[in-house]
Amino acid sequence: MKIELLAPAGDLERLQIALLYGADAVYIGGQDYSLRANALNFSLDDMQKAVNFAHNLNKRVYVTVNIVFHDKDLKGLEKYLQDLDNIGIDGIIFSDMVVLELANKLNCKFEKHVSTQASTLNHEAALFYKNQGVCRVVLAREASRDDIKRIKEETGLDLECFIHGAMCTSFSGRCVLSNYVTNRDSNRGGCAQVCRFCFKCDNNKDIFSMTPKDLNMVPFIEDMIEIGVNSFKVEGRMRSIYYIATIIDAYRRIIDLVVNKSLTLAYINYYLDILNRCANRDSTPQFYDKLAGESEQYFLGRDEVSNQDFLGKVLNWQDGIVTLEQRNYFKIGDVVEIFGPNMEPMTIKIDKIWDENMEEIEVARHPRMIVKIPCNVKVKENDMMRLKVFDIKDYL
Amino acid sequence: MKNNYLVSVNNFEEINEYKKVGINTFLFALEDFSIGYLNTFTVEEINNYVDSYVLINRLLDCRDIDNLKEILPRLNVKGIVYEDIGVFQLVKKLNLNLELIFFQNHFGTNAQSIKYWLDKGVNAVFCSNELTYKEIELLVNSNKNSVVVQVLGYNQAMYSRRLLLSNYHEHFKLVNKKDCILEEINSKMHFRAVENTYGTVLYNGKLFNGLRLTNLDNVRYFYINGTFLGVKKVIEYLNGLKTDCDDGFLEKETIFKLKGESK
Repeated sequence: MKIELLAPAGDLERLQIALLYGADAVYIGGQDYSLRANALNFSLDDMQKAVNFAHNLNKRVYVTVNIVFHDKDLKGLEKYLQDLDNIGIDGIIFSDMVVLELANKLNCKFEKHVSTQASTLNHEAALFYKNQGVCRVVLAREASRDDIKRIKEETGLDLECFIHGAMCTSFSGRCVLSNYVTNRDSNRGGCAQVCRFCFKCDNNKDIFSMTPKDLNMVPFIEDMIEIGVNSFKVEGRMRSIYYIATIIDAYRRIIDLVVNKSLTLAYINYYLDILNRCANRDSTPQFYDKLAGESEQYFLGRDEVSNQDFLGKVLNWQDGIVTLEQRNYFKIGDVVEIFGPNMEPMTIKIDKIWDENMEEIEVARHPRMIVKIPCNVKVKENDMMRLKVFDIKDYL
Repeated sequence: MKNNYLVSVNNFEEINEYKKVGINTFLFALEDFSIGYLNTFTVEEINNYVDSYVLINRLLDCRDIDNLKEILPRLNVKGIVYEDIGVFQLVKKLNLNLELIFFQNHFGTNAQSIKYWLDKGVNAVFCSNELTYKEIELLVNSNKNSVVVQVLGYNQAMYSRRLLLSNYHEHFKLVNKKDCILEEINSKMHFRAVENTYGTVLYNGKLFNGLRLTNLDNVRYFYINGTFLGVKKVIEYLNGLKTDCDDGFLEKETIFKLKGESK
C-alpha cells in the first residue's frame, strides 16, 4: 500500500519546502473557493509552477475547492475546474456536492476527494461518496481507530487522516460562531476562530476558552498504517516554512522508520519533543484512541507559547562557509543544529560570524540579515539552522 | 396561517395545542440519535404518530450505523429528517418506505446542491440559516416544494463531539450542568449550550424570527424549532403577539474576504 505524507502549502515557497523535506504531496488553495480565504493562496500561474515543481519530483498537488457555495459563488466555478484540469493538478478536495457534480460533468481527469468538512465518520457515508466517483475520503478528525479501520474494510477507499496541527472545537463545517460574532462566514473561509475567544458560563467568575490542544499522532503512525490509512495529512496552510520543514521532516523520518520496521520508542520520544518544541500549543492524539476530554482542551484563554529556535535558512555553502538568512538572534558560542532533507541533524558550536561583507560580528541580531558561519560539512540551500535543544543520542 | 408547518415538539401534550391552531406535522428527536434537543423520544412513542417525522441529527460513527440498521425498519412514520449522509445510504440500502429530508446544518446554501440531493432521491432539503431572504427565495423558487425553511426558534451555531460543558465543569471543579448560557466576553453575545452523551450543541442566544419567510410560496415545510420555546410561546409568535427577536442573516449578508468586497 502506498503511504502518502501530505503537507499544507500556503504559497510556492512553502510548497517547495514541504516537498523537499519529504512530503509526497501538498494541498493548496486557489484565490477563490478555498477555506483559507485570507491566506495568500495560489494564482493559476502559481499553481502551474507548483504542479511542474511537484511532478518533476514525482510528487502530487491537490487543490482545495472546499467552501460551501452560495449561489453567487458558483459563477466562474466551471471555468475554474477546467483550468485546474488543464494545469494538471492531481486532485481536488471538496465539500459541496455541486463541485463533484460539475467536475464529473466536465469529465475532469483529476481525482475527487471529499473534504473533512463533510465530517465522514461511518462506512455508509463513505460508500455513498464512493458510488459518486470519489476515490478518497478525508475523514473527520473525530474518527476513532475503530471507525477508520471499519471504513477501510467496508469501502476499500483511499483514506486520508489528519495527523498533526490545529483542531476545530466543532465538527468541521458544523460551526458558524464566526458568522454570529464577527459576521464572517466560516464555511466560506472567513472563520475568526471564535471558539478560541474567551467566554463565561452561566455568569460564573471563571473565564475560559474552548480551545482544543493540537493534534499529534506520532505514537500511532505505525498503527494507522496497519489499519489502512493511505494519506497522512498535516494541517496548516498558513504556517511558517520552519514549522513545515520541522513537522514534515519528522513525520517523513517516522514513516520511513515504520516502513523499514525500525521505529522504536526512543525515536517516538525524540520526535515528540522536536514537534512539541516547534508548535506553540500542546498536542495530543485527540479522538483516535478515546473520546477527547478535559485534558485535550485549554480553558484559560490563549495559553500559547512561542520560541525563537529558528535561527536561519541556508542560502548556500562554499569552501567551508555557509551563508544564511537570519531569522532569530544568535551569537558566538551558541550551539546550533543544521537540519535538512536527506541529512542527519548536524551540531555546530558557532565560533565565528561574518556579515555579508565578511566583516566579523559578535551577534546576528537583525531579521533576514545575511550572515556567514564556518561549517566543514557541506549543507544545501533550504537547509535550516535551529537552536540545538534535543539530541537523538540522548534518547537511544 | 400556512398549513405546512413542521414543528419539533417537547412532549406529547403539545401536540393537541398545535392541532388546535392547524399545525399537524411534527418532528420527534429520536433517543440516542439526536443532539441539541432537550427531550427525545423512543421509537415506540414516536410510532403513535404515523404522520410525523423522526429527527436523526447526529453525525454517526460505524457502531451507530449498525444500531440504526436495527432501528430504522421499526419506524412507522412518514419520514426522517437527518444530518448524516450514512442515513440516506442506509435507508436506500434497506429499501425502506420513508420520506427523506436532508438537514445538514449550515449546508443547503445553493440551488444546485439542493437539486443534486433531490436528484439522488431525497424528498426535501433544509436550507441554511445563514442565508439572506433573497438567497432563500432563490433556493425555493429553483426547487419548488422541496425546500424546508426554518422560520422560528433558536438557530444552531455549533456542533461538537466534545463534551464541552462536562469538560468545563470538571476543569473548574463545578457541579456539572448539561444546559448552560455562554457569554462571549468581547461581543457580550450569548449562546445556549446543550450537551448529551454524544456531544454539545451551541445555539445562538437570540431567538430567530423569520416568520416573514412564510410569505414564500412553494416551500415544502416551514420549520419551527420548538425546543426552549414550548407550544404557548410558539403560538404567540405565530399570532404576532410577540415580536421581540432577531431575523438572523435575512438582511445581513456574511463576508469571508477581509480585503475588498464580499464575494
